[in-house]
Amino acid sequence: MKSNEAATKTPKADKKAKAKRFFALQRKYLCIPYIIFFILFIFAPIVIILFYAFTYEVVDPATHTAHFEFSWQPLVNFFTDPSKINVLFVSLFIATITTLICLIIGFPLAYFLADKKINKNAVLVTLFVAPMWINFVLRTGATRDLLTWFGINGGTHPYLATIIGMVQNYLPFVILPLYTTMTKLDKSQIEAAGDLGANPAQVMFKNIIPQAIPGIVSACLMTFMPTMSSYVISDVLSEGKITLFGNYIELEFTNKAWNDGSFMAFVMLLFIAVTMFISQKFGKDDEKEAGQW
Amino acid sequence: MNKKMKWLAVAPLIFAASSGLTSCSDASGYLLLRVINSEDYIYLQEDESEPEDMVVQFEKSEAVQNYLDELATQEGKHYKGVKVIYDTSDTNETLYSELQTGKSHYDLMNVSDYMAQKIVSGKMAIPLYQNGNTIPKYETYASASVKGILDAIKAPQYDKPDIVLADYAVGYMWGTLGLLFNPDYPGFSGLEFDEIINDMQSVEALWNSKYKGTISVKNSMRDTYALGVLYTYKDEFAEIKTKYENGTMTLQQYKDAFSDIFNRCDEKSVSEVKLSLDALKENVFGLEVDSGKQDIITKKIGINFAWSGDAVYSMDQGEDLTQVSEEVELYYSVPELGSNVWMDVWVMPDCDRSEEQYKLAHMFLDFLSDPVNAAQNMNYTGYTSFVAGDSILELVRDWYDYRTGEIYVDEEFQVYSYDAVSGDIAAIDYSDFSRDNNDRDNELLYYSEEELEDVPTTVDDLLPVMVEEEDEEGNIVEVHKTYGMLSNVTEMVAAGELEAVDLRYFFKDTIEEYDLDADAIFYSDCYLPFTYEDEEGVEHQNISVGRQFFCQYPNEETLNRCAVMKDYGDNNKYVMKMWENFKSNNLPTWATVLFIVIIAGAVALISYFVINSLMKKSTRKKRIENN
Repeated sequence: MKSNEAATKTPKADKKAKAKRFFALQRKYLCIPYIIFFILFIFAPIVIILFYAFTYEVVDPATHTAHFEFSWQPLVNFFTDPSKINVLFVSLFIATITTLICLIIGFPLAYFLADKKINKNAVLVTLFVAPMWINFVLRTGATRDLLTWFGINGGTHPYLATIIGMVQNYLPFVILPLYTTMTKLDKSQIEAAGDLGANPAQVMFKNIIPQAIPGIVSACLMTFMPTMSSYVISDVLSEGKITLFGNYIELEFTNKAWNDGSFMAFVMLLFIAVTMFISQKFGKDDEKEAGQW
Repeated sequence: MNKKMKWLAVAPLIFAASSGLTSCSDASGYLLLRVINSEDYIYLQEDESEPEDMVVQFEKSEAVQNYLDELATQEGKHYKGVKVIYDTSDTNETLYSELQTGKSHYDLMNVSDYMAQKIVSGKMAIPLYQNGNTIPKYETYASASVKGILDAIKAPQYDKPDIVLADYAVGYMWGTLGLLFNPDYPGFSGLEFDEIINDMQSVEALWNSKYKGTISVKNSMRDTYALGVLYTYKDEFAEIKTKYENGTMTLQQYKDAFSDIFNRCDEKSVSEVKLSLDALKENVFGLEVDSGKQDIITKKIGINFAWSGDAVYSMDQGEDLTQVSEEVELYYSVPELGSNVWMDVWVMPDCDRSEEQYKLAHMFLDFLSDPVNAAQNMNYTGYTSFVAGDSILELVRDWYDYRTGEIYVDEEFQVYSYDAVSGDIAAIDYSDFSRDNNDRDNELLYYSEEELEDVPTTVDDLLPVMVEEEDEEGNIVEVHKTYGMLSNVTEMVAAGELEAVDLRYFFKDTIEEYDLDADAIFYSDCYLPFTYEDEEGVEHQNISVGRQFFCQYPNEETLNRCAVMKDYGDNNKYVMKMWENFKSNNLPTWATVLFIVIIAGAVALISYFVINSLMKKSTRKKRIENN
């Protein structure tokens, strides 16, 4: 505020201005809770993970006390341990299959749900997303009983049971972003493509899918990473026979191998960073808001 | 100024938060005792007619009040009372890491045997019997048999190799590890009952393809490793057992040899066990965290490698017709060649505590070791208490002894139970009556009040009682009332319908009111109920399969072939590595192929699009250039 301007005002107005400034400042401070939350529960854990991922426990033979020293040991352990690499591949496999199946089921569904003629008040979408409201641990327990009833129990078909459980759990996360994208499809462009002689397959692959790319990318993001790191579903539905990345990290921590466990968590972080980067790439070309999911 | 004001506003909040964090101090005017236990592992009040929670009973107990008075008069320290801060935890490992990071401040911690050993070896606990503090009831009533096992455990610290765990730990509950199974499981349809019972006497059954896909084992490193050891070294276990039975080995030698083999965890043994476990993984239905005890009732599985306490829980649930539509009769076996005996103990972590709290912790342990309270805990949790004593004996008699099955009902339908040994006739509530009636097919006796006065108090008095009955022709005649099985205990034992279960080894030196030789021998019809024929047609009494009673109180012979599984110490890393390898699995071939196809497809698709768009771009460029 300029000084000459302030001088022309009465003391009362000055006070008012001050009060205004006070409140204006206040509004900014509304972010403080989130900043505190961010520091305590997002930033600090990551720092702790990084600390443990690049240190190793050293026991002093004289005093028998343990302390942590900088070390590449967790990294070496990760890449030289066949069981960890195996777990990585099993997780990648299950995550890929789950994502694919979710897309195959979810894409046509979202397309029809986005059609105003079929889904008048968007009530149907709510129905498809409703399972998300029930806690997934409870749902998984119920799925286990259901699968046993169908005869596909985890004891005999661990992979099948796990993938079914994963698809059931993550399908809503695929439907929602796809649905949002589909509602924004340029209908006239699709019609035009048909009119100009494209066959249905060409309409689908050259027009609808390219338009829906942002939705597909965010659907993949919402499915792929959580599947890799999930552990309750695989533990319950495969009857403990399939160990995913998340299970393995848990195992490392219960075995008190904090460094190795943290390094695996760090690998997860890297995966997330890579997928985020890829999705950003796609987001640049296409409209961004559909990718908000 | 604004800034300062804000800090002032925040300051009280910080104070409030920090005072909440330090509530372990006795600022509230109460003397605090901080205890952490496993879930559902102590008596809790379920409705108002029952006694209060065990910790509340302790807070109000006479001993505590006396101690507070003593503190007030002699040392001038006035407390409003004693408050027990009672927390629960899920696993030993969680407790250990909290202890290691210095986060936990407890006066008493309930952990398993091996974890107690680890905590004491790592100098994270303090010895119990210091400054003249004792736990008299524990010393009196703890059963010598299990206490003997605890006393034999060492917890060497790096500079003191001779530390004994018993100086740091007080036993709470104990049990065995064995096979819980359902002979009527639909998946066993082709198998004879006798055959199943016979197979289940050995852990080999779990590797037997006959039972493929019907077994669940624990998703826990130690328990499953122990199972692997029992299988891998079965020949050696059999060898020492034969030696012991031949008399070439004394009992102590046998126990030591057993424990040595059972506790093998060097690199070579671990890799041998790993091979067995890999084979096991192919044969089992699954690895369960906590679902096994329920799955066996819902018939998802037929066999579960279980802790005795969980086995009792499953058996009770399987018989409870409010829980299941059709009764499931489960059996529990402690493998013939031996198994694990485990115990949960209280230790005192090394952290800040006042002299009063130290003393109070001892009083709490003393309170828990009082047989009356121990019986209450046992009745509630279903696990077997470390202490013996009259109250426990009475409880076990009430549960399993045939002689306590007599029930009288008078004209007003008040139900009385009659204990033939103590001679007590006690009014019991109707729910007890109906339960007993269901379990044991008791013949109900209706008595008028006058007749009740004549009710005899000993077995000898019982026989001459005459009652009027109608005979076949409708005449009223006086006949001997043969009080069901009660009068026939000796005959029934002779006929093999009842079995004398000798638990004197457990109750030795702890009972006062009862007579050890007469009353610590129980008469039961469901302890070791089976005989089987061997290949030569000779009948054998089965020695390792029983029901609830056997789960809770294995006989001395069974206990002799069980060893404590010690902390792996420095070998922990091998076992851990093995377990991680065991848990992780290779992708099956079909999955690998599928995965490669998908990846190749994705790569092809992406490169097609990339090349396509590049080509389009170049043609567009050309077109522009041409124009």
